Amino acid sequence: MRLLIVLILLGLMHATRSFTSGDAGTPAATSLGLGFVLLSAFFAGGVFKRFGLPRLTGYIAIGITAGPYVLGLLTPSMVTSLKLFNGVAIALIALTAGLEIELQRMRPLLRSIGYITLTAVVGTVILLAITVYLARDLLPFMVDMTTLQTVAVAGVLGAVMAAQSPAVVVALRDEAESDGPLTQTVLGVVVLADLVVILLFAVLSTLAKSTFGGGAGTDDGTSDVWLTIGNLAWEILGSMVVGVLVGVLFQLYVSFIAEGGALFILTVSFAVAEVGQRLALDPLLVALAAGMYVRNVTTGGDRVQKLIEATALPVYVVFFAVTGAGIHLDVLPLVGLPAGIFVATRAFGLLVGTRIGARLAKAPDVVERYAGFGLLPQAGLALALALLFSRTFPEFGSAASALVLGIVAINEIVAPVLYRVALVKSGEAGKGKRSASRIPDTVESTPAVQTVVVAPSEA
Amino acid sequence: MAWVGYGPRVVPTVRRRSPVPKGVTLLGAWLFSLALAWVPARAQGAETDPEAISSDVGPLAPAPVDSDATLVTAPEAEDVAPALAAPTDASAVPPASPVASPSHDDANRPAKPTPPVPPSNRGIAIKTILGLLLLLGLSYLGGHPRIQHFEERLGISPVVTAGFPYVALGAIASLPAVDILSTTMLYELMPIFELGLGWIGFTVGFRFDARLLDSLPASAGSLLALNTLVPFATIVGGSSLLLLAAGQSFFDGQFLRDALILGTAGAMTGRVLPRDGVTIVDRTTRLLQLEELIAMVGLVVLGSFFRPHDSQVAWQLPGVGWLFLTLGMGATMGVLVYTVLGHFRSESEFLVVTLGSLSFLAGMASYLRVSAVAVCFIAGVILVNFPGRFHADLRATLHRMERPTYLLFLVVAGALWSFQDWQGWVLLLIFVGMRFAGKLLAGVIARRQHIGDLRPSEQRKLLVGPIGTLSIAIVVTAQDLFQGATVSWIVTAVIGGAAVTEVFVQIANRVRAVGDLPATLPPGVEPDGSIP
Repeated sequence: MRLLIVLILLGLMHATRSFTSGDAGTPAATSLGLGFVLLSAFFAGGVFKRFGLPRLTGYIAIGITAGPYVLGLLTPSMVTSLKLFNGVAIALIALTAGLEIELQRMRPLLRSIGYITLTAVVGTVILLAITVYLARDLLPFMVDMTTLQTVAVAGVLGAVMAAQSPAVVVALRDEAESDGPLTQTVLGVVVLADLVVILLFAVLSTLAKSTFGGGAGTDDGTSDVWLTIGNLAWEILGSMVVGVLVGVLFQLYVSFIAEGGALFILTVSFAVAEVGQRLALDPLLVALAAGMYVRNVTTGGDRVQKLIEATALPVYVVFFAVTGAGIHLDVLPLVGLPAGIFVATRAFGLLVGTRIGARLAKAPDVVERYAGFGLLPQAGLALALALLFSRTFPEFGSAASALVLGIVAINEIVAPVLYRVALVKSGEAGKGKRSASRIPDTVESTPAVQTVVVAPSEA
Repeated sequence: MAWVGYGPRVVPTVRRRSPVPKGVTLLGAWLFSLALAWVPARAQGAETDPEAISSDVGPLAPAPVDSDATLVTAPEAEDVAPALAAPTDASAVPPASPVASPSHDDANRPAKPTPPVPPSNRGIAIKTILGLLLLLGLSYLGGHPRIQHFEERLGISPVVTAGFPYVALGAIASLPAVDILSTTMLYELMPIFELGLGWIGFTVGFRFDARLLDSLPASAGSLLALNTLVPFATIVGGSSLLLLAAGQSFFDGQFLRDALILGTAGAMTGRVLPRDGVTIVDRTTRLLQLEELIAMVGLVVLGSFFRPHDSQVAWQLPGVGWLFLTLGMGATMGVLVYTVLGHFRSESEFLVVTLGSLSFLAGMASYLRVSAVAVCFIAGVILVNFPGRFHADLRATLHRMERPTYLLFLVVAGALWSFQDWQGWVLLLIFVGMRFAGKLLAGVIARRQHIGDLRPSEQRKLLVGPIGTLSIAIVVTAQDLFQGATVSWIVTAVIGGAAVTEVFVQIANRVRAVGDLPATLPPGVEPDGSIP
């Protein structure tokens, strides 16, 4: 039935789109696209679930299928418009990740997280940088660079390509209802890795820019190290301070007002995403710090988490479907060979690095065997860094970005499936608590849906 | 190191029974998030162009093209998750927005929407974002049951009266000195208006349970025709004077269109709420509800027979073809939404399917340039008359968000209100006067012909009833579908007329309601007209 609904939606969308020629970048197209994405991705996720695949892959798959590069039902302008959901999505995801980090409970894992981050993430950055350097003949945009420039750019690309995706990890954890050392370790690593990669990118791109005769952080081309350090400090420390303030706000709201909490959180998430970035703060860090504060300092963590879970599903559905629709399938044939090499290198680095790190930290066996798969998914951060890269190096940035996009596209399609399989094999799937955004086996008895009874065929 | 200290976290379940269903709050949040998703990254920093709110360009129509602007989203938006940014196809020109039947003032209409201007000032962008959040938050709060209860105690519950501060807010927000609701911003907000229109239509349709026909008074058809067609005729007749003076002719499609909008908006009567907060439900209640059906007929006709002429539109159908297409689309989508709503198993899934269905439905209707209100109304009628266990939740959700949506529309109406257009104020006086005259005439005819045999209190209710809230949706639809100087006048006439009428109605009812006793509700019928 779900498949039939998806096919009907595709047919209706095709019929509607035939009303006009061209891109149809009208507001009505945005409403149409939003509705289509929500419904079709939701039901496609159900279809994928029946085949034992992650719902998330279903969301991405329908995005790819309906997107500009396959069926063209979602036009580029629709995709661009719907991408504006991403800010809220990323803030919510980071908030959720922060709420999951209960320091006292994760203390036994900190050693594993630290070692795996060092060996797997930093190690993979180095490995990828070396591979880029060695494969420079396959990359036309590096042909005219000096050795120093090639090394510097290879370092930056290594950081960009190594990025992980807390969004996918959190979504898959929710979907698989998993909990345990593997789940917690992977979450901790990807969150920490985000910080590491952002920091590495900032430092390496500053250095790389200087090899091309331009300074980072200034418009007049003069190198200003202190300005760069100041900007970095503001972005990281400022984000954390603002995040704590946001956390205090959440705590006050759930303690004294409570009603309409989901709306409040969504609004604050939006403000964090849109206002934060205009103040040169990192929305990811702000939301992460807010979540960590609420979880570890206040007593409102569970309440805030419940509110997010009740709100998050539509945001996730749109976010992942639109991400799928935005995948540049057209660049894959062009960058196929080097992208394949880097995907394999990255996977090798992360899987082997995780094993080494886990062994050094004497982590549980399940972490050593499966945690590497949780580091494979890529999405938002890698894409953001690719865009930043193309802006930082306008001379060749777009060509390099296409390469990164190709890598992300492959990882986006394959990695979630691998991590889900790892969660199932580890035995942690199904051990987590249930939430409103997950798919329950029975009906939740929340007031709003008390009267809903699942039809036997659906249950 | 051995694995120690790890154990499942016990999550205490907090179950607080809130007077507002959680799903309702979430849907509010979603309307919010749609606006949020649309506005800031695309339109922040855009300068207000006072000339764009001119009388010869439709208020919600695309603003003029800025050749210097780049056709990209604001860079900051992409910084968050910029993504495999899909390339903007420069060769693909977006189709023109809906226009009415061709007329002289359509000649200069821009071919495509204004590309957003990159932010020039970070402070302006932040101010705009926070200002919009405040406006939307106030709209949400204005629809909160506690606020409504407070207003009911004051006797100002009808949305038009209570919502007048929102009109003022919109007007203030659009001032150049404040610059929150600029023309560009309003254009960027259009997706949420379209969703809101669909929401209103669906809500109204979802109240049309076929069982309501059982409680209709005798001669309902005749009464309905009398109470809608006579005011319709008087409004059209009266406003024709001004429209003709403005240079339109009887044979001009635009004249017919404007007359139809005014007549439809004025023909409906809203419910009256006395000061003590007790809703008097009598035989006319069903009748007033049926008047909404007439409004829908008007909207379907408007959307079917006043079509855009756009070279990129591939579907060339006659008006009757569009009429049947509108009806068929509403019915088909109603069945589809019914099927879709049978597939949720948790509150968050209910949110996905409800929001997705309404957005798809409203988006499809607007994309095809037919009335989203009418199409969603038909779907709502289909849905409410099909069996299902989602009725109570859906009704509660729709009802909860109905008022905030109206209030949001009023904010927009305030932002678009051209106070300096004297024609709008004149039209307001004509509109209110002719509507009252029409209602009076209809009452006289009904009394003399003994149609319906209404009691005096019921006759007075029909005579001095306020303008229905659906009228607001009608003028917003008109702004969405059409453009031209007269659309701006119509907004002034209908929104302003609704407020003026409301004041008169409240005064009249406070003077004469002493002797009225609340009638009993028909068995199984809720005060809002729905059947649980």
